[in-house]
Amino acid sequence: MVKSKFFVLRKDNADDFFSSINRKYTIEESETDPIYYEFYDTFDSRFLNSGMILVKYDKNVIIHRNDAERNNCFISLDSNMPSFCNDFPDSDFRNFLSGVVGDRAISKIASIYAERNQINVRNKEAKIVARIEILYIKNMFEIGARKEIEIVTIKGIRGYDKEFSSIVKIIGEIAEGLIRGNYWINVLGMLGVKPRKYSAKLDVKLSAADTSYHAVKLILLHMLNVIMINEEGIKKNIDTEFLHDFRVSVRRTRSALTQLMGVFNDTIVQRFRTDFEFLQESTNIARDLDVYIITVNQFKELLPKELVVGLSPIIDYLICEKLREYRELALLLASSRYKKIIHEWKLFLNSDNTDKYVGECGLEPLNRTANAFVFKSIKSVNKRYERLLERDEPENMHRLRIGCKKLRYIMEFFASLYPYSIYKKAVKSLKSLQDALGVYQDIQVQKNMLMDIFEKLKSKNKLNDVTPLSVGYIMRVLEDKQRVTASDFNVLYDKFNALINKKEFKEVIV
Amino acid sequence: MKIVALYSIKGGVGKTAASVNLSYLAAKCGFMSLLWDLDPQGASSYYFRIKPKLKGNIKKLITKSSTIEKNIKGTDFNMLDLLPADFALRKVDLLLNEIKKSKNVLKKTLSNSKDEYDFLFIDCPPGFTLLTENLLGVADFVLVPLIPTILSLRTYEMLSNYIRDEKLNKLKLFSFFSIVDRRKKMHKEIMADFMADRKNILHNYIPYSSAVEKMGYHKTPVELYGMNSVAAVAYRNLWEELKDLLY
Repeated sequence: MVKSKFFVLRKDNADDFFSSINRKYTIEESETDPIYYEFYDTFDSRFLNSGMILVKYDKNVIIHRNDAERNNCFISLDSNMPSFCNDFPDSDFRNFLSGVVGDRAISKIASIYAERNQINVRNKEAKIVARIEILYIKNMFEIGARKEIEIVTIKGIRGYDKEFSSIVKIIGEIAEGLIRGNYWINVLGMLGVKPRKYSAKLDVKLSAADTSYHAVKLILLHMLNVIMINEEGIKKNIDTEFLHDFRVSVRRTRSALTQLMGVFNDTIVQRFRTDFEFLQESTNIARDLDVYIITVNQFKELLPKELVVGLSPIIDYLICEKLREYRELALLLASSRYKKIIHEWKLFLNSDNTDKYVGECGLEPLNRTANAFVFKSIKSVNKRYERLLERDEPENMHRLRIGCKKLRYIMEFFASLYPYSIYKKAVKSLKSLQDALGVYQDIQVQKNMLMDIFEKLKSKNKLNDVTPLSVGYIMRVLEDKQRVTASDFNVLYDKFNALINKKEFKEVIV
Repeated sequence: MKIVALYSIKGGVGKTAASVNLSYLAAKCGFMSLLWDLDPQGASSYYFRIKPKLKGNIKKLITKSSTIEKNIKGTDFNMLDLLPADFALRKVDLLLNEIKKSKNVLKKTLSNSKDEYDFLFIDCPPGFTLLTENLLGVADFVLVPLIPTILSLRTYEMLSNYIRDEKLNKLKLFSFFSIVDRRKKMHKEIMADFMADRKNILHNYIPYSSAVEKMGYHKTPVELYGMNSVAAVAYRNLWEELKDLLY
């Protein structure tokens, strides 16, 4: 393994640097060459947060996984940097990229202009025993940093470990500091580029002794932040995750308002329930279209190669509809109605006027009300399950699924009150049950969507010759899938039921 | 990993120059390459400015892959490493004599080494010894430089007969003409006759060139100081032909 070490050089010590090494070795400098680096990441900094860097210079796009060059992932691009993983050429690079970014768009987070000087260090036999690269970072765009930094990289040559150590020692004595970990993450950090700490997941630390009113407000504030953070990405239609996270937070907010009865007074609940219902409904079509586009692209995998082209009119139609719907969404998010809802919701959540808004159980300690809410929700799930056993109908299955989702949300709200292992087991079990209950319904939605669009395009004479065959093929595959959808939710329900009846669960939750 | 042994019973035929230049061109082409300087004279090591000195004893070197890995040194060129020579390599045959099933020692050692390289070029010492038998057993491809002289062809016949008698059927034996003086009528005639008779001779040859002799002065492959020289062009052509044969 070839060793590398990175140092930050003190600017006034550049001469010392050369003379110190020259005492023992011969230095051979190359011409200084200009180099322009562009750094990319997703909105939620998936690369930086996982200790990786996506960098482009010239035609080279590299994912630096760590400092060892052999573990890096590389591709050469003749085109501009694509925004989505699927737009990269089919390669190991794309497979790795897909694992990190998924459906998220990648965009430029910083670019650096630097001058690079490469130096060969030779021993008495004139053999190169180490290489040194000095990177003079001159300018940082996007964030406007003007700090100049000089980074020294010492690269060892196999079999010349003693020489490497000796050069590291020499430079270590005159350098400002040693860079540990990922080189570029450190450099970007020095220039002020830090990973965004964003997660749509609920991660609110609550205290059991806190009042329910205060604690629920903290939960709702977190969700309001998620809603606001994602507005810009929706307006610019950057990727589907912005709307997804926005809607999850809107849905959770609605769920909190309807399920956590008595924490706030009725006036507040009624007022904002209507507002968030409006936001949910206004974003339904756009989200459906996002999901349909993902689904129809997945249908391509089901089709024989020659039938894939039949889906083109459907995809084109969906993309066109999506663009139109996102334009509407941008207008909504810029509208005075939307701004008023968010502004007033924010005012309420930040208000200190407890007396005015508190409900009948709002001042009770959180652990008591939280347990009561969880218990009530479990009872509701049980009732819905019994109803499904009485009448095995898709409608009852859907109701049970919604009940599970509501219970999961409540448990997620109060997650920090419970031992992590118990909470994790319960949520995992609920999620599996929810997924199993949803398979049938999800396939039904896909079938309906496909047939609706097919009929619509047929009436407008916008199908190609292959489309009827492609749609017919997919419908058959979906129907087969729907038929074999085993009703294994009974087993999953029993598992969930057994879990919540365990002593350890009852002791902490019910 | 493909193992290419540059070998000749006869000395002074251009094995080392070919080893150095071909391994360099392979690395330049993007193949991770290792050159093993097995000749105790250490000329390949010298051309890469690496001391012909090994850590540990020679017995360990030929029997333990970990000792081979410890002794590998990076050259001045990307993707090209060198396992240097050592004067003690002159005793390899004595050591092999002491080991049971000595014909397969190197095969066993190299099969245990990490699959780090695309190519292993071996600069073999001249002569025909136990080490030679080991090398013929381990190489995928034996490349024999031939000076177009009667004696040189005679030693090549000896090698061909040995391979036939030992039934080393999997071994690919190829030769190429080296140190060719196109002004000499005899060189031209010998080359023409030999090429007419044989299939396993490369069409490209290395001419006699002062550029090759200067390798000792520059201590680098010819490409680095005489890119447009006849010798550099000849090595490039030879490498292209060899690459096609290897893949």
